[in-house]
Amino acid sequence: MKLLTHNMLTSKCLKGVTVGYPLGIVAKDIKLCVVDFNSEFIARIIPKLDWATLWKAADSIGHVGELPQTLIQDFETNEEFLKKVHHVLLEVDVINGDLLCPESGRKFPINDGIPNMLLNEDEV
Amino acid sequence: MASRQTYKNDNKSLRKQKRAQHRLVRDLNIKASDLPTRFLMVCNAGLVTGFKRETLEDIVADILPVCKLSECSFVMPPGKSYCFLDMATTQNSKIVYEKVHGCMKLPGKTTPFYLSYVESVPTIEDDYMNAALPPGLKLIEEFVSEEEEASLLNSLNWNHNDKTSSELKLRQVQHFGFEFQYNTNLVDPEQPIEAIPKSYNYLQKRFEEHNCGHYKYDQLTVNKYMPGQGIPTHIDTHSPFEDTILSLSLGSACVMNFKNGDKKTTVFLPPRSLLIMSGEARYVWSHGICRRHNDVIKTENGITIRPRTTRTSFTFRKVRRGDCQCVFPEFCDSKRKNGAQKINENIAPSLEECYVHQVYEEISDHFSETRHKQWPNVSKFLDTIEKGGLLLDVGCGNGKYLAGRPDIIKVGCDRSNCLLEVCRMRSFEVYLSDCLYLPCKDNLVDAALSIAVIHHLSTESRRKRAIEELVRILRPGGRCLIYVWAKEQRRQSVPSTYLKFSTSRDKNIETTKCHKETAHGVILPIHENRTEFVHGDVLVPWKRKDGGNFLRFYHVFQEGELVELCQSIADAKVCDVYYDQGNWCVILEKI
Repeated sequence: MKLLTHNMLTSKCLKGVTVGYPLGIVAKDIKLCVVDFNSEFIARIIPKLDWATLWKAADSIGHVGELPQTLIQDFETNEEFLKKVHHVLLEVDVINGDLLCPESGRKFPINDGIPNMLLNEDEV
Repeated sequence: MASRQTYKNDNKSLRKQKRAQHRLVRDLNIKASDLPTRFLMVCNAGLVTGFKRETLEDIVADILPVCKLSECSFVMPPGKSYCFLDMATTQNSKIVYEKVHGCMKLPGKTTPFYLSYVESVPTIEDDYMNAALPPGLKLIEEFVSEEEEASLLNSLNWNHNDKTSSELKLRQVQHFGFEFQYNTNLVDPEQPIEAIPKSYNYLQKRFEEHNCGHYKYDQLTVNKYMPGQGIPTHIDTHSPFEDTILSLSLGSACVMNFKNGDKKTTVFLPPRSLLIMSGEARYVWSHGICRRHNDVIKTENGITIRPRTTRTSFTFRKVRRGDCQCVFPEFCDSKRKNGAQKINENIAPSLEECYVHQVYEEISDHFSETRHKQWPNVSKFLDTIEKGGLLLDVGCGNGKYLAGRPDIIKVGCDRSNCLLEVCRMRSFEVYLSDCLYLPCKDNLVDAALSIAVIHHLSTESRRKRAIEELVRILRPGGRCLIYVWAKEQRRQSVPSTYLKFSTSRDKNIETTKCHKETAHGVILPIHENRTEFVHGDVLVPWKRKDGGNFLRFYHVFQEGELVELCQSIADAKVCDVYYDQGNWCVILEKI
């Protein structure tokens, strides 16, 4: 699971949970991979991200690097910055661990890079 | 001699020989031999072409001395257009080859026999027709005398044109006592018709003497079959008739085929014999008569064919009042009518767990192999997504739609972990989730796919909820593409790819068992692959390449059904509706 995916996930379908976002991450196994960098692509997806969530998630698993806590103004033209975002978003892969519902503490296991977001019948 | 030699090895006979030899390797894995062997194959005459064992025996008898004939044996494989001789010695074999191949004419034809030496002859005759009779089946030979047979046949009048006699597509029929309605497969016990003729009363007496059920039979159907006619394989509907069904064969003999799952057997019905079907043979096994001019039968010498003449059958049944009490619910129309549980919200999750989720886990490898090519209209939809856009493929399977468009963000989710593992190997971003509860923020994605997913949900409210979830995660202005399987597999009389591409795999799937009672008390019809759908909620068989048969639940959508469902959803409008290769498709936009 990449942090890009984490940025989209919520546990709001759980009974009694209202927002369920962002999910906490407990990473037991992280793999770094190399993905081709495309500055235009990264610049286009930044506006779709929840920046604070991305930063917190990266920080919580020790891969925030030099990424600023707040989004910079001229991100579209700042190649160095875009490269850092690229790395955090697409090159950090959580292989094993858990995602945590911020309200109920319910764990969603990540196995072999696949978060298991299935809910039991009595949880919905 | 020289000229005959040339004729025998002319291009045509060599070509015929070659073709037959290829077919033999493919069919039975028997190789031809360039050098003479004791085994001969007759390349262009067999049971299927109407060639009789007796004819072959006569031909060989004319060539070889009587003492040698007894050493030879003949193998006539059923369903084949060729046959075999085991001549005991290569010398015998060479004599027959020389006299027959390329020179002796086929009976009644101008073309000659083509023979070939082969390495062995098959033994398939042995296991044919030796299968056990279905439990509950009994045959009494010479149940009536020849005089009685003649008088029964004479008593019928096939010319009068009233309601009780009708010409079906494959045979002529007359009813007495009560009329069997072929459109509903039912009988109306309140509407008796002309009674069974009194002159047949002695038969009822004889039924009692022979323990043919304890009923006073009150319904008689007389079927007349000309050579080449038959009756499709069927189980007599349970509810209209009591347990035992009797069928008296008059005139020509014929072979009746019985089938129950993988079990198949044939029963030879000689003239004047009475067939008694009760219990499992009546309620579970299907029976039918092939539309043929000849029957393949077993004689003392082996398998041969017997030409049919006109056969008339008298089928005696006892009309039932009330529901069928049998113990075979999967085959019973009464159980389906009364006992069957409707699919409801309580049953739906476990039904889908059993007939969708678990099945995909089992078949994922094979399923994934069969799903590679993107459907062109889905690719077109993906092409409309803006650069940098966010796509969620709900029910992504092996990720075939996550493979293109490097300039957008693609994430997939599915209910099958095994299929997601395939996605991970292909470096796609995926998560395991249910399409009814997407773990995704509201108003987020620019585009969503739901290809061949919603038809796996077993109630309308669940199908609606799945679409509501898609709409929830779309940003306003975002679009999703939905594909579901259509009940209509033909548009403007053009069959869909699904109907056209019948594979040998499909043919092997057992379809006799037409209904299945699930653990949830629901009785669902089992669909016959590569045919049009008869029901909306069905179980569709999947035969895994490496073994195992599985049933998947489908709700196939009727024309207009998907659009109506989409239109019932707030904050979404239908942008496009189309039919694509047996699927109903909708593009939905969030308002």
